[in-house]
Amino acid sequence: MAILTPSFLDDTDHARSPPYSILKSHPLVQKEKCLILWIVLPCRHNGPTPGLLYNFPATQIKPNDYFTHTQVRLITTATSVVVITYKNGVIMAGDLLASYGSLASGVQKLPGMLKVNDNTILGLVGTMQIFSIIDEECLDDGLSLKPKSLYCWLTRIMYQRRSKFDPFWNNIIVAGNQEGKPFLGTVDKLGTAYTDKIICTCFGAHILTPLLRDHLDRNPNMSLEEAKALLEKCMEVLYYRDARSYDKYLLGYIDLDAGVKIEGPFQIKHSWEIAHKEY
Amino acid sequence: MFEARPHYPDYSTAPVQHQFSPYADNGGSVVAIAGEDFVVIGADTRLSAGFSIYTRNQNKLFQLSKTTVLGCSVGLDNEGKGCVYSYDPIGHCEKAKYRAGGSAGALLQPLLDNQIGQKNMEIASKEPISQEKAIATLKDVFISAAERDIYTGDSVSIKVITKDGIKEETFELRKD
Amino acid sequence: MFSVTYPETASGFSFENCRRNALLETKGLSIPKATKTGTTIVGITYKDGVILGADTRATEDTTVADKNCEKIHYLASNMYCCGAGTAADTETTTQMISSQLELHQLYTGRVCRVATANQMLKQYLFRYQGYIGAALILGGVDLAMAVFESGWNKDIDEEAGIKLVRDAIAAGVFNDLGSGSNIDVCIIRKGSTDYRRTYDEANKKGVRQQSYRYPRGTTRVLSTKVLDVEEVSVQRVEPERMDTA
Repeated sequence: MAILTPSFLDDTDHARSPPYSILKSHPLVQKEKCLILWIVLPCRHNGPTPGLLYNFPATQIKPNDYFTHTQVRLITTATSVVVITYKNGVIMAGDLLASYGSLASGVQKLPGMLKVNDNTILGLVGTMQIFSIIDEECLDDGLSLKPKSLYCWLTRIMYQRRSKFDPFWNNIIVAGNQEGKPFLGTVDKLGTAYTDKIICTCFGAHILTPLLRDHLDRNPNMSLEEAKALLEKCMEVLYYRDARSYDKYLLGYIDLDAGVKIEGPFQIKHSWEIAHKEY
Repeated sequence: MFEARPHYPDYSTAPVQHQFSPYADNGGSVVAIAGEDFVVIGADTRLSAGFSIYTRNQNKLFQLSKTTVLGCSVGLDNEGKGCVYSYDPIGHCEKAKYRAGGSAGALLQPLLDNQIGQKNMEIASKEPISQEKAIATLKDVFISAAERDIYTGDSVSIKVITKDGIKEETFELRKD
Repeated sequence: MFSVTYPETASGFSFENCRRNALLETKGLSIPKATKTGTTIVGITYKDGVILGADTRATEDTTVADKNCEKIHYLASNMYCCGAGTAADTETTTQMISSQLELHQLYTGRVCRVATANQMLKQYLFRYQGYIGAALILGGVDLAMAVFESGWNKDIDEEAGIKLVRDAIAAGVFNDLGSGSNIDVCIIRKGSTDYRRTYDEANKKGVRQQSYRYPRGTTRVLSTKVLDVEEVSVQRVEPERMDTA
């Protein structure tokens, strides 16, 4: 892992990511074939120099200015993504709806799920703005970024942006093959990050985590087929109970042997029979 | 003049503005007890937000050196004696012999004052606290915290620091 | 000559302090919060009746106020009701409806229909426009609903129904921080009810590592005064029976 110090960068704004081209050509990166921590901020960076007071960002902005500053309001978003680890990898399911506020704006063009390289898949929930950054920084660049490195890098980006009061309004899930072991981690808009065997976002986090935790307690070594069947059931339950869901979904998985695959779209089998009967 | 009228968010016509708050409370508690030649520190492993559990196995203790662990800051001082430093969010720091912090901090500190600090006791023992007693007390206070604090639970990871190095163990707590 | 008119007193809840409290709040005085129980309560129909379930944790902000409270309330001999929301409100509301139902039953000489209780509750709660924080019978549903969505069918039998209700409550107990402790279940069949308090002790308290008994002499004695007891007499009074004639 390459750790680059600020002296290496001639960009005066250290908090920004250094241009990727510079990093890529750095001998350390070339040698290690991977990169991640681009920099450690100096202690007092963006803070007050000795003798001056810190300008707390919140006091400079009128409350009403927040949202113009942070591009929220109505933005096309993807919603629930459900991810679990199974015996031989990690599997991810996400439906294909893009919402525009409460309006369904159609089947999304940008996938909420994307293959980064041969050992990593990303799940993206929220605004699509960060997509371009990830695209620019690490898609198909010939470097095989390991999932843990990507996860670590994303936590830094997300935390840095939230500290500037200008967060990426996303939940990001990193799933992959970390040196022969399944890896699953997530980071949200505040930079809150954790790794676990089950990660769900949005409404799925409320309604599906109990089901999945229960299932994984009983059967910790699921096969790929069992995991697919479980996620199919999950997407069905989600379709019944989540108003922002859709009946077609994608499955993405990293199998330690078979590699990365994104399959679908699959059709959810659903029955609303019980809703029409009186008891 | 104030009008007591119910607010129906579903029917409001004003635009909804999302305000961004960069803060979140993810709960969790940490307790550290220093003895003559050792320190024990424990932190629960639950990471939560609101009324949801993010994960049941989040590590919150960070080893800084061979004889230092950050949770609160704990370690052995120059003379090999156990010591605990605790910090508040704006940087106040205090050295202590025992300390409870986090979501159950207010619940546990008085308990430690009594059991470890032997405050308000007429016949206090002169003996310094033994390692076994410190670990047992630490486990017990976490059992109690898990009973009453919703953000403390799942399990507690414990590190015992002596001059010979750091021993680790985990101890299960209730999961609700 | 003068006349006195008494103000008409209305029964039920009074909200006249709301306005005062709002005014005080604008002046910087915060108002104490009511205990709101983050709760999981469920109910399903099965082949021969209904099964209700509830957890037993009551929380006050982030502190557990009661580790084993009762959330399945008695309404009538053929009816129980689960309550979630503000503890005091669910308790009082169910008690009021329960007494109304009892009177109704005495008046009509028949077993009350559930539709009667339902209508009474609806009318009662609607009048208060949501100011009574009681979510009755079904509420806190989303976690538990996933379990039903994947396991319920209309012909489910009693044993499987109870297990399903238990699993639904367990989903809340283990995954919602506002719910916890034990699981209560109540089965209502035609002609009989079966209230199983603490059907499943889902969470056991950890075992203490050591004793916390204080040795004699731990508490400081500030002063001592000895009184001789000269005579002790015990007088037993027989309780009077209530006149029910």
